[in-house]
Amino acid sequence: MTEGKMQLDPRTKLFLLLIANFLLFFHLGVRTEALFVIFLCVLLVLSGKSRTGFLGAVFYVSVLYVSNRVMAHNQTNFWAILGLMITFVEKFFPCILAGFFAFTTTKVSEWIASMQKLHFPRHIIIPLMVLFRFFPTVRADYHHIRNAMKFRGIAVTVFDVIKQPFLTIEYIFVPLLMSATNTALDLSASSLSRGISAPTAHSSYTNVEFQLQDWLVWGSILTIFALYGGR
Amino acid sequence: MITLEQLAFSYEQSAQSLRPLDLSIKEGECLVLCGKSGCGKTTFTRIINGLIPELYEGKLTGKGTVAGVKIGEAEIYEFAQKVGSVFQNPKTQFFTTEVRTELVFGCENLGIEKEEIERRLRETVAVFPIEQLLEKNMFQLSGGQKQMIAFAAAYMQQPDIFVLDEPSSNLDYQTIQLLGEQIAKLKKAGKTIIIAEHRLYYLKQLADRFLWLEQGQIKQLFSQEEFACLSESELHVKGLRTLRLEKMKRKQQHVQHAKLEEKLVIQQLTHRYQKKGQTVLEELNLTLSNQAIYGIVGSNGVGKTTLMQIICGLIKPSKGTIRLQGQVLKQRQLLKLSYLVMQDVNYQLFCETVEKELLLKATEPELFEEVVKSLNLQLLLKRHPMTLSGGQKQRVAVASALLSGKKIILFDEPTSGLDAYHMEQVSKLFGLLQRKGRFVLLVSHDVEFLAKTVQQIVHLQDKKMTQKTITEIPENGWYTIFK
Repeated sequence: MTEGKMQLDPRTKLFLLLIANFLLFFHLGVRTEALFVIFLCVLLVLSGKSRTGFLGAVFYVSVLYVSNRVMAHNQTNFWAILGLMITFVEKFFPCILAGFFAFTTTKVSEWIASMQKLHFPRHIIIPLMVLFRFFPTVRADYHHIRNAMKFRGIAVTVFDVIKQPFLTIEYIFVPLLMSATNTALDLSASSLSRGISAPTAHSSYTNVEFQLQDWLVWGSILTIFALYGGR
Repeated sequence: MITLEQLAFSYEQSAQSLRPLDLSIKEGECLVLCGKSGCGKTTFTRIINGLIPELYEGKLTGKGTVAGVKIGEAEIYEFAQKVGSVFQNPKTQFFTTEVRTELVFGCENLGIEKEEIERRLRETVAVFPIEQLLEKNMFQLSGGQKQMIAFAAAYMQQPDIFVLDEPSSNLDYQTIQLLGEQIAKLKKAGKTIIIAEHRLYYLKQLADRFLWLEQGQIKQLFSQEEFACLSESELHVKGLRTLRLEKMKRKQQHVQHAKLEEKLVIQQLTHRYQKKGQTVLEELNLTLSNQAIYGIVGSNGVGKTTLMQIICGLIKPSKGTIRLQGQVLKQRQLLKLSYLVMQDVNYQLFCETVEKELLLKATEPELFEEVVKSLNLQLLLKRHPMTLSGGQKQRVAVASALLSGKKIILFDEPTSGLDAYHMEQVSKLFGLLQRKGRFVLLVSHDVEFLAKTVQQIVHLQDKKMTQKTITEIPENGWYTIFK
């Protein structure tokens, strides 16, 4: 196991992501947002992502500072546009950070296990598993095809691609789809022969359980909202 | 354990079929299915693991049971409890992304309790050499490791029967040895094992019976002793690969040389991976001639692929030069001069007919007639490349390389999963390229194929390289170069 690192339940991470989105759509004040971001950074550090945690905090605080200075200026067009851009970064940052936290500290198997625990139906879980499996495969296929195109003399440089975008796409897609079809059939064979279609209840080997730290995170978030929410 | 009565099958979408056959397989028996590509071996395995007729549709007639499960009537998951399967392609037979979850996946599907899964996991790790892989991501593993995990994952389901469909086709010599050892362990544990295979040498002591199929029909059923008595020429007539790798004879080669000898000189080639800073190739010197066919060998991760990509101009080496007839070639020039026939040819066919494929970016279209004729593609010109067989696709790729004036033609594992007949066809193809004065290099694990095809062996080992002509390799010591 990962020694000395805090493990949160994937459901807690999902909750954090939801809160981050909530903050984006409902304006709850800079104080709430800042507290939430700092809290996330602390969680990142505790989960073994210290670099991202520290950098995130420093970046966010600088953005807040710059934003304050810009807003203080008289509203000419230039400052207005700059202010808009900075606000945009400031508002989106919690979402990006929460998303990063959720997806870099959780294994695919943990997501699947928590979805099972949340009683998601099989016909949602299985396609998601296939999706997780497919992305890296398609990426590898894409690299092979690009290589093949290079020594074939098709769309070698970026300039070629810009000159003939549709032709390039066609040359990538024909072999990519062929390969994806084969992969899909092979994956079906592999999963069916291991009983994926069995109608009995499926068991789960990966453990996901709420622990003390999960309750603490939920508690802290709700406290922040209770104290500062809406102000 | 398995009984088949007048069982027959024909696919909906292809002409291949299995004619009515009667067979019974005892508990604890190891049966090998052999024969040319398309003889029905794979179809046979798909019937035993229940994928026919549910996943691969077609017409199934006759009766049969597999460990009490009725063929054609039961659902696939009922087979899953009795039969464990290992397939040919290591890239596409794992379903999850982590090794540990991959191993327990089948058990979870069958609703087995966590404590029991833990117990089986410990047992599996004791039987298969996979302990150090448990925490890895599936995508980080080599083909051989993936294949071992697939085998272990089948074992986790504790089936009575194992079905292996060409498990060795993507493996190197050492991993095939390991595969043989695992099969021996299962046999000792009393499991029934059915293996469809082209490579037979590693199974001659393991299999109780050999079933020789041709065009979907049982031609003959051999006992282990009877099969071992077959001479190499008898095997050859049946389209089967060698049984005796240790006595592999070098074929006397009558090479028709190209008129003009050219030399490709690689000097002081060093390559470091940019990300990890790890050196793969160090100060490599190599002189290649278009008068010989070169086989690049070496174990996984030794830099064979990197060397090929450098020669192709796909990557720029950290140091070193490549000269053709004294002229230094830049990366872009190499890209223009070379062509890599990939292990999976599907990646490099782009057009809707073979004819268009051949003429795409062709710089020497005047050779069209000649190339088409010498590669036997006349009847295929109007077909869609994707509807061709593996060997035909390979020939189309080679033809397009010739028409686009490529001087250096590289092959990555050109014979994975090929039977004896097609292997020889590929071998002949190289002769043709040589007569046309091309540089021919190939990376391969296939000992039998190398012995029949190449004149020079380039052996990569520990960032270094040794070059031998095949006459320097002792007659019965072919496989030593893979150690």
